[in-house]
Amino acid sequence: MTVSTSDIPDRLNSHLMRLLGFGTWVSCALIAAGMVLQALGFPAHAGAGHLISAGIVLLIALPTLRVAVMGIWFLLHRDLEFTVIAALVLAIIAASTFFGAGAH
Amino acid sequence: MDVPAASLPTLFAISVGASALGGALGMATGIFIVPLLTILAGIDVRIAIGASLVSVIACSCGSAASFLKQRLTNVRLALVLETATTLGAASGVALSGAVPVPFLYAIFAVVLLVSAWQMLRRREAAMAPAPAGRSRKWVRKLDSVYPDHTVGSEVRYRVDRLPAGLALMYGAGLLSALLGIGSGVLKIPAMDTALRLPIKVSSATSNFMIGVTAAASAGSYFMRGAIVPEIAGPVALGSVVGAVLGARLLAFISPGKLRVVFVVVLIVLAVKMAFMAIGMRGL
Repeated sequence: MTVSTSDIPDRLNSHLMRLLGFGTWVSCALIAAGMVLQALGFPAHAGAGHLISAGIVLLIALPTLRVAVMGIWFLLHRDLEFTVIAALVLAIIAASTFFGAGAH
Repeated sequence: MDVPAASLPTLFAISVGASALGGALGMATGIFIVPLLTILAGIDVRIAIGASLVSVIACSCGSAASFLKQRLTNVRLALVLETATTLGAASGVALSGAVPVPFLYAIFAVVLLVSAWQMLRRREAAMAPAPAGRSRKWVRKLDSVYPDHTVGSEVRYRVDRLPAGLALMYGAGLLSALLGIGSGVLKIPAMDTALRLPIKVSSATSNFMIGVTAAASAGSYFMRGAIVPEIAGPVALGSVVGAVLGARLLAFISPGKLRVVFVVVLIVLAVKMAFMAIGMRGL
């Protein structure tokens, strides 16, 4: 097999680069904005805390979104084995998140 | 949990320092965050683990772009191995409530010591040509190429011994969820020794997977209230800033000296964590 097909996976790479780069940037900006408001003396319940929480929720969701993007990409390219693997990873994350939240 | 406002710059500074130190050696820094937060800032260990997980995700996502751009990350292999790391993380989440805090400190001390030993030993490439055995067709889709600038061409590699790799990755996921770390300690042997990947591919792919692994436990910790935004926020932001600084520092500091500093810090933290495991805080 030659390396001629390698430009197709490169398109997946650039989708993932944009998603992860942009996502990290936005969540860091939200956290930084919240921290600045807090340092200026705004009480946590008046927005500053919400901004920081939003940044953290986005960060935690970002890798899961990345797996979802990969799953969709594989599905669109009729790569069924890897579509199934992506779905399995998403199912495990969902199970871990929702069952784990109840187990103290 | 009540967080004094004055601690915010302290948390930020600790994270920048920890992340810069690790980033300058090109390794994941989650391992420093929990010991430093518990020892220096006196934060409850479970809250520190939650904050560390968020910073591990931030650093993984933040640095993924440059590895993807250099075409070092094997995204298919990462996805396959993530079935094992997320399953390990789910087990870690289920166990985390049952594991007593002194035991957490003890595991942490062991992980720090093993990391120090790995740092001294240096990684060597296990690039023995793999026997061309029969394997399932889809597994061969994991084989790939990466650009090697020292050779000046693309290097083809194949993925070897996947079951052994998956087993180690399950352990890495478990440790990640229990301790809030990226688990390089298990991922490095899994990638280098079991799967026999080229070092650059192994580093990039492992970094890519760390975010998903940590996210598998961070979601439930957040819903349980074990991730306190006022602590996790500054720690995550500080880690990202530190990682950027660390990469710049790399140009000015000799890696040999930094390696020694790194090993000393790991051993000191291991001793501190060991004392905390037996209930001696003030040392």
